[in-house]
Amino acid sequence: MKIFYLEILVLALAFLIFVVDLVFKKQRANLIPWVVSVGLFFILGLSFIYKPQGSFFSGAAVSDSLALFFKKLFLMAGFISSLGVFSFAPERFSKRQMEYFFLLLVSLSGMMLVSGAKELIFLFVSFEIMSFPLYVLAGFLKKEAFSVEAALKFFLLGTVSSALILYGFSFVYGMTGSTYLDKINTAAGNLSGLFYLGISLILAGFCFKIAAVPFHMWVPDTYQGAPTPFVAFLSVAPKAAGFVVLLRLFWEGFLPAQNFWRPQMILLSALSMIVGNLLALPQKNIKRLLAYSGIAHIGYALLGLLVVTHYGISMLLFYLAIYLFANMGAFLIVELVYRTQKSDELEAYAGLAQRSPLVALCLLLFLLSLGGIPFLAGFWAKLYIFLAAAQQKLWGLVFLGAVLSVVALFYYLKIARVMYIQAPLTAERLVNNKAILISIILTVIPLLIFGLYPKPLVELVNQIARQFLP
Amino acid sequence: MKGSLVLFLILGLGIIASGLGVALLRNLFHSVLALALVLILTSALYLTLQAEFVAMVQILLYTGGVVTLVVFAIMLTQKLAGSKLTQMSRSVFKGFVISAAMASLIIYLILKYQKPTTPQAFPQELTYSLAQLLLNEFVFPFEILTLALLAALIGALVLAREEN
Repeated sequence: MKIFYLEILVLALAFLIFVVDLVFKKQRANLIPWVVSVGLFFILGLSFIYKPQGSFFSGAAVSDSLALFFKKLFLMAGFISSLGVFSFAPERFSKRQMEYFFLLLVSLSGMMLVSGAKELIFLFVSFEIMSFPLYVLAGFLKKEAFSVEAALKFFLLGTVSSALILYGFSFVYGMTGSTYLDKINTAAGNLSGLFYLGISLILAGFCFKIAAVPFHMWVPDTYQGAPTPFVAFLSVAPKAAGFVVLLRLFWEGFLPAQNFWRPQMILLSALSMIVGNLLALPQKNIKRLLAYSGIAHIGYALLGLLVVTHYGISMLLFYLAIYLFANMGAFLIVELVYRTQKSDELEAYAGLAQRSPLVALCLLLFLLSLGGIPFLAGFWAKLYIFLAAAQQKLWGLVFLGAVLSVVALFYYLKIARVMYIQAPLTAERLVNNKAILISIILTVIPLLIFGLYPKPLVELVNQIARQFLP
Repeated sequence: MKGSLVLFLILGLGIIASGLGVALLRNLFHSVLALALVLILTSALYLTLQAEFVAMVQILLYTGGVVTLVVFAIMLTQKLAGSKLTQMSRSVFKGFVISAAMASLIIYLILKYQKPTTPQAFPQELTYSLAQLLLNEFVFPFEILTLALLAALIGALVLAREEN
């Protein structure tokens, strides 16, 4: 059981806040966010110290360096987003705080479980443990019509895609006779027909979850309607969970069939880059703009997945880590601006540099990192992904990605222009919220450090990738 | 051999017909009844494949539980909304094209790659082997399902509870 100690601690924290909510009825206004943040910080610290390796239930679940890497990412996302809701929760739904954090922690434990899953049934169950709470959290502001719409769209498409995945699993199991990925791998070499149909269905289902084009329809509406501190979490952590599942399935299970699934992934990656970047251009609402830019980033990350070398995997891991920090940070600032001006439209950001220079600078850094400007971590992430693709002679995709990165800069800098050049509509400063500011600074620091000195992270991800391919 | 084929054809056509009923009937209540028929016929299909336990569970959970819940949901919503709910199937043509394409793909793949096999008898009673698997090899996913259920329960409470 010891390979699951992190998940067990997260669940223990979830049940602890149940008790805290019952015992401290009066003081609970700020108590629960405190307990969750401190608890997650402690668990995150532990994950760096104690790293058990091994497998469980005849290889159904493993704790390898890949799983541990993703567990750390999820814990970081959980910690940062719990800081982000610090005063949001007591203000907007003071009586339902316990439920909010409970669901968040259960979802977190599901993600951590799925990162070590190497057996289809276990993988599916833990993926659903992650998904159920997310549907509810998206609709947590249930009095607002937008939030309800967001949750409903997310729920309907989420369940349909789960059904697709199960349908695909049933074909794969039927053709290989096993639900264990390593056994599927040995059987996959001389199969075709229905096995391939299963792979395609699974790929389509998980592309709904990670929001790759053409399975992206729910993303802009859901991001726009759901509570922003939650969107900061939703836009990165479940996406990373989707990618770890794709890595396990397609690299450890279906690798012998790579000639079949690689062209499909190339198509998905190209479509995501094109549609995401082009549809982000005309957006006036910053949450929708970030949603479309997120779709484009999924396209870039898929590029790392389909490069069938260990270099591709390591660059995918690097990309996901950097994307996590930049995207979460940007959404947290959106929340900060919304609290002051009750608006997510671009006009609300007019003259932000004069009103709150530090916050404006942070948002600029996030946007430049997402856009891939040199000496921020996002630059290395994009460069490495392109290098990995170029090694495999995928020149078309590299060219497409590079051209679209320039297009992306246009809409990222559009926000920067509004912040720095336009005159402010009000002289009002942004609300001073310490918890959100701390979480924003926590996301800026890695971008700056890994932008100037990416070597430690690169070495770490290379080491992890070598366990797949020498 | 012939008899089981005839039985399979009857059940299969019945499932397809009532499945179309679920999607196309205007009256929402009728389409739920068609859904119940789909589920019952599927469980009959399980019986022909010697999966008695799965067939029983299918009847108990889906026909007994889920369909009843859906009927209740329709009744209560109609009472609250004060109007009769009708089903709108706007994209019938698009849906037909997509499902026809998917069905012909699956049929083509089966005909091309799958040789027909005679069903094998199970080594021991199916329910027994199922229990063995569920409580040995798959006990961990089975146990952590409780987490998903707990999350769904609390989530449903959060969304449904009235607040003042």
